[in-house]
Amino acid sequence: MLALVLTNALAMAIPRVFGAAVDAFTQGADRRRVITFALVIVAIAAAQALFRVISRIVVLGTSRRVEYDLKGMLHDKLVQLAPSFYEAFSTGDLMSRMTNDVMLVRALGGPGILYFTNAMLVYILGTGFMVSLSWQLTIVVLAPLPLMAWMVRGTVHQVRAFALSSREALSDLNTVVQENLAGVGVVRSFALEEAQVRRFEERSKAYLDWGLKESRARAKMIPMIGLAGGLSYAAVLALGGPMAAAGAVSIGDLVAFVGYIGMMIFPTVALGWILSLLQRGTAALERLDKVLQAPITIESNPDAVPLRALRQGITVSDYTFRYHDALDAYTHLQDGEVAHERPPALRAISLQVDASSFVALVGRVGSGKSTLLKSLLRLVEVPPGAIAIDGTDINEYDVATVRRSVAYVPQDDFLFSDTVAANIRFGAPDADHAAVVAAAILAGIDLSSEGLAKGLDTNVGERGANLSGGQRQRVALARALLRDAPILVLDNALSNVDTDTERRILAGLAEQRSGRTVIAASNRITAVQDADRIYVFDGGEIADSGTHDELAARPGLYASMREQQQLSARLEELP
Amino acid sequence: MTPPKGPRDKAASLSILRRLRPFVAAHATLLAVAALTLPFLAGAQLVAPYLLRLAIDRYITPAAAGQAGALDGLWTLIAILLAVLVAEVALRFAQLYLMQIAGQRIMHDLRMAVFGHVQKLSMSYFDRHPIGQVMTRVTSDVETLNELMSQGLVAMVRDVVTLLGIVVVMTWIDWRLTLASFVVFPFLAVILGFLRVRLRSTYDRSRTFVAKMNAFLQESITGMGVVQAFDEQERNVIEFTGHRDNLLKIDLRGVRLSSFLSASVQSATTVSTALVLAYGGFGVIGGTVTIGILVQFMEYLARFYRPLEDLSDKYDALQRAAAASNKIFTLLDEEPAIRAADDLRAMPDFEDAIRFEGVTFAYDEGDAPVLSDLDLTLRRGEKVALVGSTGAGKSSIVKVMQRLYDHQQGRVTIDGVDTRDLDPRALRRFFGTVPQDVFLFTDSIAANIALDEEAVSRETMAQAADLVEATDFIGTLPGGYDARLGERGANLSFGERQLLAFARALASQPQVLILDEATSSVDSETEARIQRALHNLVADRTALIIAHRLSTIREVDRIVVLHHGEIREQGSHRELMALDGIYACLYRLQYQQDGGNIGAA
Ligand SMILES: Nc1ncnc2c1ncn2[C@@H]1O[C@H](COP(=O)(O)OP(=O)(O)OP(=O)(O)O)[C@@H](O)[C@H]1O
Ligand SMILES: Nc1ncnc2c1ncn2[C@@H]1O[C@H](COP(=O)(O)OP(=O)(O)OP(=O)(O)O)[C@@H](O)[C@H]1O
Ligand SMILES: [Mg+2]
Ligand SMILES: [Mg+2]
Repeated sequence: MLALVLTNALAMAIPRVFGAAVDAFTQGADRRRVITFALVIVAIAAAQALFRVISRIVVLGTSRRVEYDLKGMLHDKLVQLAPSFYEAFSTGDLMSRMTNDVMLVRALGGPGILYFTNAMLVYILGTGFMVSLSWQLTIVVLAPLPLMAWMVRGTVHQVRAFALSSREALSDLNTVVQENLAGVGVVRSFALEEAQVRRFEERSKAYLDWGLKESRARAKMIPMIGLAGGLSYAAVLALGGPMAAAGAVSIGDLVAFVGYIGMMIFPTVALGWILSLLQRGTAALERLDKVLQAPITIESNPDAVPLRALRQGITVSDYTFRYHDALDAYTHLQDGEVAHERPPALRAISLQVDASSFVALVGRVGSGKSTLLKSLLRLVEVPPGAIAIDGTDINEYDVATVRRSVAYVPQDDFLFSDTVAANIRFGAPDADHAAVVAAAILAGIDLSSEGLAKGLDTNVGERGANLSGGQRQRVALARALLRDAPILVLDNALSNVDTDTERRILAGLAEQRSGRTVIAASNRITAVQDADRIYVFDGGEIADSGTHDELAARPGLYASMREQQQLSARLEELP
Repeated sequence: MTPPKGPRDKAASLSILRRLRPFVAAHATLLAVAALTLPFLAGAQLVAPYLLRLAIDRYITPAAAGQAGALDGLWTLIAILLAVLVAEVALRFAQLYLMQIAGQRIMHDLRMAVFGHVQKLSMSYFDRHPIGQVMTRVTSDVETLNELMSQGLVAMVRDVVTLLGIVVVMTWIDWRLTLASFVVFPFLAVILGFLRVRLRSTYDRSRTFVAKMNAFLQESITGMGVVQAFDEQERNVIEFTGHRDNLLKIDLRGVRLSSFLSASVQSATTVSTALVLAYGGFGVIGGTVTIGILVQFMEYLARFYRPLEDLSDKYDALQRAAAASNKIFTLLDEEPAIRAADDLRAMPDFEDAIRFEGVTFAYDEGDAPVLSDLDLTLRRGEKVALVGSTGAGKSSIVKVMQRLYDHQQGRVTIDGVDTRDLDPRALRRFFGTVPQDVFLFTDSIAANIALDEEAVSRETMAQAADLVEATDFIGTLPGGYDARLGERGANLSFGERQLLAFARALASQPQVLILDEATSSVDSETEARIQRALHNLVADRTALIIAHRLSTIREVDRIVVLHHGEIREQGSHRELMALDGIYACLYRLQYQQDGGNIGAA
């Protein structure tokens, strides 16, 4: 800041020196004095350059740091926000906020502040120098300023409104691109390219339109400010000319004055630009604030206790869950999408999972199995009193320890674009190679004949796109197994794996279970028949429960599912 | 990374300008009109100092010297000055606005070009390039260019015109003074040249880091569920901080360089002022130069340096934009791996069969093939099941059949016509696929089932939903078919998503239906009902069905057993059982395990 003041003070001194020089020349001066004047200016220049470098490095560097911090803050927040938040805010939208909006805030924080301070300093110093020359002229010069401020005011608000709309349009555009790339397989396979381009064009046009509106408002502002500068210029001549003629001011002073106005016009024009930066920056900040203000719906209580091991078991009692309850927390942040009423995903569910037992969930599509499993990791907002672990409500435990106690294979086998080994190691970064190989083998990954080009070092691609469906699922399984947690939660973990491999995996798991509690949802009878207890889900309720033999013996959903899977076997036996 | 060499770098900058030309040319009229204002604006810039000189030399000095009536002309002069200023303001508005329009339209065109090109790229490109990176190209990088286009380029042209005008006028007034003021320029040029190369490579790396960071970010956001389930938020934060650190370091370097740039320009201008003052001072003393001229000169110099300093900022922006456009054009230069042949053949009627003839395929040219010397026939009206262990290459067959990837050897033909001679998009429309990984758009249920809303009527769409037993859950959604889905269908259960993907394939009414594990997340009760419903519908349809759960494929005409990319067995259920090979083994496993109850747990 000091450097900035000095740079400007020095720059402002030059017209003064110059004015003095002109006066000296009019009175007739010798060469020595001329050289002295020149040298003074050169000295000033050197100092000025130095300070300028310093001030720019400081201010622009700060803006980069502001960006750095802002991104850090946003990301810190993002990792804390519950999955329900990500239903209210799409990836493309969040990406746009984290990139484009942060960029605008940076522009506000860096060049914005730099030019603003500069302009202000030029005004203050310039006014000071000018007053020291002639206060009458100074008043004349500054007279148009209030006029300018008044003219610009209305426009500024307009710029702000348009800037906000244009930011939103850009977000929409980003979302289209994100979806298009994420769904590239479907787009290509159904030859949707043209439709996608149309969709993109629509959004791009909308963005263009808002952008143009914004520019028009901005363009209006700049000449307004320029006009004010011009008026000052004319006024000085009109008043200063006669004054100089009358000898009230020297010609040198007049020249210095004109020099100052020249110096001030540019910052004034820049001020218009700064104002629009400010408007855009605040619009962007407003959007970032939505993320920063979003409530964190899943976190540990201040007096949370750690969960260390599962001793007795998990009790679910009278658990009713609606997805839109959680979404309500975000709707005021995002216009448009309103959470809507749907039947609850779980209705008064009660069940018991004993420690070290194998519990299976089967049931129809959309019957609530995954919802229950996600609840066990607190990936959804579990109401108090619904789930107890070892007799203590799940919300009383420290979230991190709950999640660390559960090895989870989600139904969505999301992998990170990294190597197979890195993905397996995801939940246990310190695991050694041997442990990784062991987990891979336990998950049925046959490294010798799997067809992975580089074995464990094969890159799996985005979301694991370079693997086959079954390979992906088994990597996700290995990732969970390496965690070595007391509870293993499998959500349809082997749906894309062939029966032979499935059998090997299940046998391996049974062998290595050693007291682990297993909770598995599956559509395959073969995967659940050995469970200690099977719960049959239907429409968010538990329709039946029992062991395989019990359930198979009575008519019902389970028996008929089993029937279907055996049908071909029966047909075979007939002839 | 070493900074690029000077000449090559220059060539790159030039070629970027050349590449941008068609985009700029499309809006030439607009730009030309805007450019028309430039001479006037520059003229206005030149007139003001001239008027000042007149005022001093002609009126004020004589008046000060006591000549009566000397000031009279001053008022006219000021009136002219004011008129000039008003005209300047009006022109500047027109120019700014026109340039903004042109600049933003150019950006729109460029975005369309980039996005359109991305639509032509094949799947293999996306195997290698993360979404976040490509996204950065389409929006962020274009946005960076925008800054230059709508603010920089315009101002730059204006500045250059103004500069030239000033130089001409100055030379005309007094060429020696002009020379004096330009003595420092060679030094400045050397410094600029030195900084330019560094700036450019710095910004290049900055754009690369930005893309990397965005790729990471987009992946973290999409995978946040997994990150949280594994309680790995902390590590995610650390990794992101790593990306931020990289970017900050390189950006701070950019800040330092550009500060030097701006400081050197400023010092150069001040030194010139001193030179002019000294030289002009001697002139005044010697009587060869009037004070008015000296003042006018200084005014010109001030006006000269302002755009020059401005240009140094723009120059910085130019380097940044050059780095961004470099990335954009690299993407635009990416040749689609799969292109339509030059002489396309019409899509056959499909009277006979689709044939794989000795097809060998690997995802990466050098790797071991995923499919090797594969022969497979899918006759019209036939339902064929493809079974085999995971990773055997079943899904790959589907991808090659639709030419989402190109095979390396052999032919894939439809009625004898090589699929490479067909329009890839028509070929793909020929099939209706339920892919193994379901993808749904953030859109209504109806739009997700009827992807091509012009070709698929509302009834067909609803009928397809009905066939796959999806009407029940669609009914519970507010708005029914018009209910909006979350990202990737996040607000549905997995099975529900799969049902929609199934309905989508049916709604497109393809010649050949491909089901790749289409019901793997669906319970067998629902599956059986779908099968019964489909039975009549697909009676005369051709279908390729991939499934691990053998109950899924019980009604097919032929079963093909794939193992490590080769066909091992082929025939009806009975034939394969008699063969007592892989299939029989798989089959018995499913059957036996259920009945026999292998004691686990
Ligand atoms: N995009 C890709 N890039 C590189 N390799 C790939 C890609 N997709 C699949 N592979 C590899 O090709 C082989 C065959 O994969 P494919 O998806 O065809 O198997 P699949 O028979 O469908 O198996 P699954 O039953 O598990 O779905 C696997 O070894 C897999 O790792
Ligand atoms: N994020 C969500 N927002 C709103 N509703 C949801 C969400 N996720 C699931 N649902 C709904 O809740 C119900 C239960 O879903 P859940 O995923 O628990 O079913 P599921 O038993 O796992 O089914 P599947 O076998 O198909 O995986 C379904 O009707 C589903 O549409
Ligand atoms: Mg589920
Ligand atoms: Mg597959």
